[in-house]
Amino acid sequence: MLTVEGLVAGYGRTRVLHGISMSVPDAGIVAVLGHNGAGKTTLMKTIMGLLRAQQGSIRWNDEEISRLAPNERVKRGIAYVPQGQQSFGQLTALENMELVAGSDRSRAELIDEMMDRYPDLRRYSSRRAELLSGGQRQQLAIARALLTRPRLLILDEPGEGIQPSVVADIRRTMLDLAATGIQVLLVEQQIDFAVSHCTQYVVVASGRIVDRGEGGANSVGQVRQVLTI
Amino acid sequence: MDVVVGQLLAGLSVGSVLLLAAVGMSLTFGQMGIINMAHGEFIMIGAYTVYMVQQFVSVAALSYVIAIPCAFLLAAAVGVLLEQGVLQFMYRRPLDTLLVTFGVSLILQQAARDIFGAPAVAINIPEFLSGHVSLLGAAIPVSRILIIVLAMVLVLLVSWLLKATQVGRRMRAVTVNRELAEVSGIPTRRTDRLTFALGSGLAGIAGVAITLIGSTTPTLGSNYIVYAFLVVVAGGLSSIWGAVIAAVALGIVQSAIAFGTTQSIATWVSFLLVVLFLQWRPQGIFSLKTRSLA
Repeated sequence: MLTVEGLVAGYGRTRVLHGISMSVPDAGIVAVLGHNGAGKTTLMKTIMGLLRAQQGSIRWNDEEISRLAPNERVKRGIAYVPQGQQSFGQLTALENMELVAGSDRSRAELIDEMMDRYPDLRRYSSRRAELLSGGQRQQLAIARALLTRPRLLILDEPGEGIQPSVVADIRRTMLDLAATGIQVLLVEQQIDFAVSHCTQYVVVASGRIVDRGEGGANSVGQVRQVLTI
Repeated sequence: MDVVVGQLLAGLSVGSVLLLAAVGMSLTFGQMGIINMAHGEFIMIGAYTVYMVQQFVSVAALSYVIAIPCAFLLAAAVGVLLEQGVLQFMYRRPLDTLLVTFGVSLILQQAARDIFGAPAVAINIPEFLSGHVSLLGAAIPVSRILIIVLAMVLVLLVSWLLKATQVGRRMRAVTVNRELAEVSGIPTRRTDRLTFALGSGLAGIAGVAITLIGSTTPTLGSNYIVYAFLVVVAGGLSSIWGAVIAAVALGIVQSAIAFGTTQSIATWVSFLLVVLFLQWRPQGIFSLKTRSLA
């Protein structure tokens, strides 16, 4: 279980998060919603350790992780797919996956599993990542995150700028993962999908949580109302 | 015709020395973006390693064989000390890095002066390396041929390491996108340390080779530092093959100009050509988006 309490973070002297408290339970999807500039990505970056928490705590399974380096958080089972279909462009799709898959015997099997999940990654395994389409790069980013065998997967706007059929694939993956017991923390602009499929949601505005509740189709209207205000 | 071939071979020979000095820098500056003004002193450490080994091993050829791994390890160890002690705190401050490493280079030069003295130390060069071989009508020193071979071996080794090993892939990944590497579980700090150690160690090996063609003094490294930067920048920061082309081209241009004029004129004309080239193509021969220097 991930628990964030009184989290304050920002860039230099500019504070972006003003005491955020939330938790991600052991199963299901928690959606983080909010307008552009609300602080959603800053929150994810702070949870991953890319930004230093100026105050507050981040606890993962009863361990304080706010001082750990990002790769140590990954080792403990937290994976992050950043916004913008990021990949190591000069490396091939296969190299991108091998990079994080470790060197044990199950590496090939795991990579194979990812290629079964996303057949384009098998088809273009020897192609440099920068030459893949946006959707393929996002699939590669998700595969790379899953190869670290996470227990919590953080996805920052995974469908942004991607064709609808690939977005549907990614959403299916997300629901599959949640069904198999992997916790998902999802930053999303698509309110309908996020709220109706999540177990809990939080709405962030100006670095503060302004609303939270149980997910489900019935909550969509409430979230819309909060985001319209 | 003989003159042209001779000049080309001489250029190749000069280029291979420049390349040798620049191979390590292609990792520390090209891959990591660290402006290390003490890189030349790592070359100097390698050169003095030969002298130190020869105090215990009298057979010159054997001493060189032993000196190569010793120079690599010693220069790599000093590199790790520098990276751990100073540079890791300055990764996003290139100007500070430049000034600090310049200071470190002066300290290392003075340390060499205190330990070995200011004059050049006597190094025994294996007899079989003192001769010449005739190649396409041009007489080429055997030592120069060894340097060409060594430079190519090191380039192939670094190229293989970056492409085919997990460590190399991680080095490239950290260069391309540090944040993404961190959240992908790559230990970026350890990768930095390893890259810097490898780059420094390669400079040490370059120092061993350079003892074959020049005198070993505390300021030996400062003769090569500018050329090493030129080769890496003109080649395109993180392209080892760009560095190869840049070094050979620079070597041939220098040799050709020096043939009809003097070495000084050749040096400043080649510098001018590099400046003009970078005006036209600032990204160098091959380009790759690397970690920002700013």
